[in-house]
Amino acid sequence: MSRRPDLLRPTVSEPAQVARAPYSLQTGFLSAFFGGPFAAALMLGLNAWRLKRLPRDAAWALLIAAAFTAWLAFTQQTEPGLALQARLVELGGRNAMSIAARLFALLACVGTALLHRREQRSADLFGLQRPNGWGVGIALIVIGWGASHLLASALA
Amino acid sequence: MDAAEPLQPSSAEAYARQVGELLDRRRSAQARNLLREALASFPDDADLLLQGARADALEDRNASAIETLQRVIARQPDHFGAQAFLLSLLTEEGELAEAERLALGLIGAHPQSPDLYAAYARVMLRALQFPKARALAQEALHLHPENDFALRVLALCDVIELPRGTDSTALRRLLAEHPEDQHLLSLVVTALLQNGDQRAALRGAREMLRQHPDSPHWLNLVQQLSVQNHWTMKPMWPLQRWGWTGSVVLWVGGVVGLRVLGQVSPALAGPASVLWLGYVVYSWVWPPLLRRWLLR
Repeated sequence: MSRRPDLLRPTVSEPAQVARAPYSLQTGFLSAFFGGPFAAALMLGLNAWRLKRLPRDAAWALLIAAAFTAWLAFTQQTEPGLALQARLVELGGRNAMSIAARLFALLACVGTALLHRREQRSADLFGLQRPNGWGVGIALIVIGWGASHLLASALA
Repeated sequence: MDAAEPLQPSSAEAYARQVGELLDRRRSAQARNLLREALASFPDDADLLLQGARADALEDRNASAIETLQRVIARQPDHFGAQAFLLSLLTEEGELAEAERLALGLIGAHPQSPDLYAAYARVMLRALQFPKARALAQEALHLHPENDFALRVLALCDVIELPRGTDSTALRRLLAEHPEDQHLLSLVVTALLQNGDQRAALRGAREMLRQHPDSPHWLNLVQQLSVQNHWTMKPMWPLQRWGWTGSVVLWVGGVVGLRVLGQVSPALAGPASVLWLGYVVYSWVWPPLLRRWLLR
């Protein structure tokens, strides 16, 4: 008899319960780079869903989206935020805010890579078939970029 | 005539044993001939069919092997050898729900078998359920502290889970016992690659290719690593070591650094921008070009 009978409970009894290979780090990087923080959040959510860990990771995806929304609201609608924006533009040029958004998205991408580090390594080790990232990547870039611009316009 | 050539088998058991020995020595063609002869006399013998499935699996015909094993089990539901082999093939093919059902059934019938716990751990590992995989492997070691299969699964868990630079105790133990084992050495090369030690990985891969000159896997890996270790790829070291995280740092560092440099020392900002842009272009363009040139 096992010391740990809990280990002998089935956990992948239905094919729908089995984790699937996540999108590659390259897809995540390029989506975040061109699509911004909302794209990075969606990528995290999508990979979490494929890996059957959405309940665990949904909070992180929402945090990324909420943090970026809060940043936009702060820099567009508050006095200190507007002053900060002016200072960033002074230091970094007129694209400073866009660069800051991209920086935020890439840091979110790094966070995602760390969160799913084991799964990404396993997928490489076992040679799991990765999903094609082109369609999803382009969709996330369009959605992410569009959402960022719409929100920034709405808050301006 | 080879002095070691066995006498003509006369029973299904003897045939199965002889076919098994031929397959152990990777003499598939001879094994197939003998198996054909044996199945003509004993078409329904479970052990012979099991060896047939083994022969299929050795030739990467897993679907056919699985079908054969399912036929054996349909006739003899308690055939342990067929069930255990089927479990291994289902895991390899990613049929994890079915593999889990089979594993749990086998463990229920043989609760003291460390190999079965280790096999179930491998299913969990393949299903990306790491804590459960590790716990099952440790349960197997609790039943038998030197169980080879459990140590291999634990070594796989370590390679996947442990931070870079951390040694795997299980892997070290296995290598001490089986220093020439191809699968273990393959795992070592993987661990070296994950730690960013491209040069040591190339040395390991070259050694494996020397031992297995017909292996397309090792040939491909040596070719890839030869490209990665070329002297013109030295500037790529941060990106090789840290992958996409390194790319992020490169972009962030470049953009932020150049902006700051533009404020602090405008005269240097121009040349620095050119250098940074040149590095970015080099990192995208040079590796595929080098690969084509070296592997032509």
